[in-house]
Amino acid sequence: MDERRNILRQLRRHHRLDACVACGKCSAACAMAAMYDDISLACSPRAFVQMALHAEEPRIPEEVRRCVQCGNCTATCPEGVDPSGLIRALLQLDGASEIRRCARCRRELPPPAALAWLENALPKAEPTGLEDAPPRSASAFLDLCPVCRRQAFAETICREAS
Amino acid sequence: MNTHDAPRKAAPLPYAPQKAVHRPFKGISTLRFDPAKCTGCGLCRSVCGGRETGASQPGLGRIRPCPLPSSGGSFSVFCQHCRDPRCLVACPQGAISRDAKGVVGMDKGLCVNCGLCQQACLEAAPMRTATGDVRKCDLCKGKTPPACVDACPNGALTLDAGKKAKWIGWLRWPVQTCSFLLLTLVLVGSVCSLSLAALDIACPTGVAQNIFSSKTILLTTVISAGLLILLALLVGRGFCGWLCPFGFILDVVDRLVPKVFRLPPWLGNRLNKYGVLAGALVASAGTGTQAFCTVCPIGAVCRSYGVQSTLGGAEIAVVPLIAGLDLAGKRSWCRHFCPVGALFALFSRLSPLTVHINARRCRKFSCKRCADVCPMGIVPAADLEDGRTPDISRAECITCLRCVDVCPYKAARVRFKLPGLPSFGKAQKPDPA
Repeated sequence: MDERRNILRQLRRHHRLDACVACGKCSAACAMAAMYDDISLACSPRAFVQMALHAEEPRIPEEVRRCVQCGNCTATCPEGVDPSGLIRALLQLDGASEIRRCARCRRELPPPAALAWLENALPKAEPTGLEDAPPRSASAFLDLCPVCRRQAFAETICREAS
Repeated sequence: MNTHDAPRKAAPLPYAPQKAVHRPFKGISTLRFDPAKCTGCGLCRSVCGGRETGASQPGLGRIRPCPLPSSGGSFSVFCQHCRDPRCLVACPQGAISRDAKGVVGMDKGLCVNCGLCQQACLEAAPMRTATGDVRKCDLCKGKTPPACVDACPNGALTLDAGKKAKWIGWLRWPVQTCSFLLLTLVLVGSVCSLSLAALDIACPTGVAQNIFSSKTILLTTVISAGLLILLALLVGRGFCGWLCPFGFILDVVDRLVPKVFRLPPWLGNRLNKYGVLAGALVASAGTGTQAFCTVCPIGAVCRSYGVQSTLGGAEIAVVPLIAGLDLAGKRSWCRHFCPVGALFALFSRLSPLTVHINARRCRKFSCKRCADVCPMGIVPAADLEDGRTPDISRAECITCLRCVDVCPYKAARVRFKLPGLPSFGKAQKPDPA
């Protein structure tokens, strides 16, 4: 337990959390705001920073997993706090830093929770009842990074139409 | 220590998701790309990136030529300005919107460059530029021609406004109406057994039942059934799409009623109609009558509702009952149950006339107008989205040619091509090579 408290102390220092004035600009800039249940204090970059400042030991909320590491919070912060780095560290601490990688180039994809959110939000294919296989699932389709998908698409369409 | 092993359902959106409104086609422009003409010079990308500054900045381009090592060519990826943009759904910030002209734009004031739109797009058309920004094509904000089209030295990129012409519909509806009126009100005997001067035309399913019930084969009846079978061999199930009087009623009903429920999978199976056909033949052999003909909606339309009105009574209920199936989907009866269509389907597999929807000509994702209008629901829009040319089942296609009519970009076409080996019920696998 002491070890985890120690880690928290290190996190505070390393990501300059003490400078936080809770202005909320990081929350406003957060890309994943739409996925949060409650943007106020339960979860948002500001909430994670405040939590790390005041908690006895690191507590990792579920919503942290949706962070896509865009770095907007860190870039926006007027006080030089690094919520993005803090969230990355929290995820590693949680052991939840499972990373989905592009099936072709092994580049890092957005976090699984964000992909799951995306999969849920995207429209489903309408089956014709004639398919040999079930229609492509959104998760299989989310396996490639944008660059590889572009390439894969170009290859598919040129092969098919020729 | 928190445990978060159980995957949690994604939180509902705090704002109402924006939905693109389905409107009739209004000449929405789209970029068209011809890989055969592309040399992969990358000029499109450079001028696109330098649109604001006037310099050559390929790193900022919103169009990207992807080199194809297999063919040595190149294929440019750019935004298709979908009708139901997936990027729009995916954007957690609501920065992406679709305007009245159908151009999907991105509000850089709201965008936080998270990249989920890239992840959601089927060809990753929103692009992360050299500066780390995610940008996407806005068709040069209405400037015609867009910078990339203007710059392409080989004419590989063009701006296509699409077409609105709908002459096949203007032809088919009158044909269907005339056929309906002739068969119900004028001609005696309807489709079941029609005598036109020296010509005898009979319903093949009726003849087949006759053969099973009477256990005799008369050459004259077989020949009279052969005419419609010949039609199926030549133009597929054109009878269903253009001539069938009950099909006409269903087409009219489809325009009027909403779709309120779905058939359960075991009922909504396209193989059911072959089962109905086999059942009709067995029942005919058993009872010694033409069993299915007593409840056939096509016959009921002609017999009970026309001038002849020979049966009336219970048979009058058949038509509205079966037409009511259309509450579950367009032409539910024809898709799943009609044994007359099933018999035609056996022969239409050999027909040279098919509808071909070329994915490369299509290239307008989630336009999906072909899938929307298809009364048989056999256009696999998901295949087109993935860039695969779908195989339109000859057995299921009723060659009404609505898709050909509605396609603004001439991707859906009539094609004459002899079939390969007949497949049963399932679409043929595309050649993996």
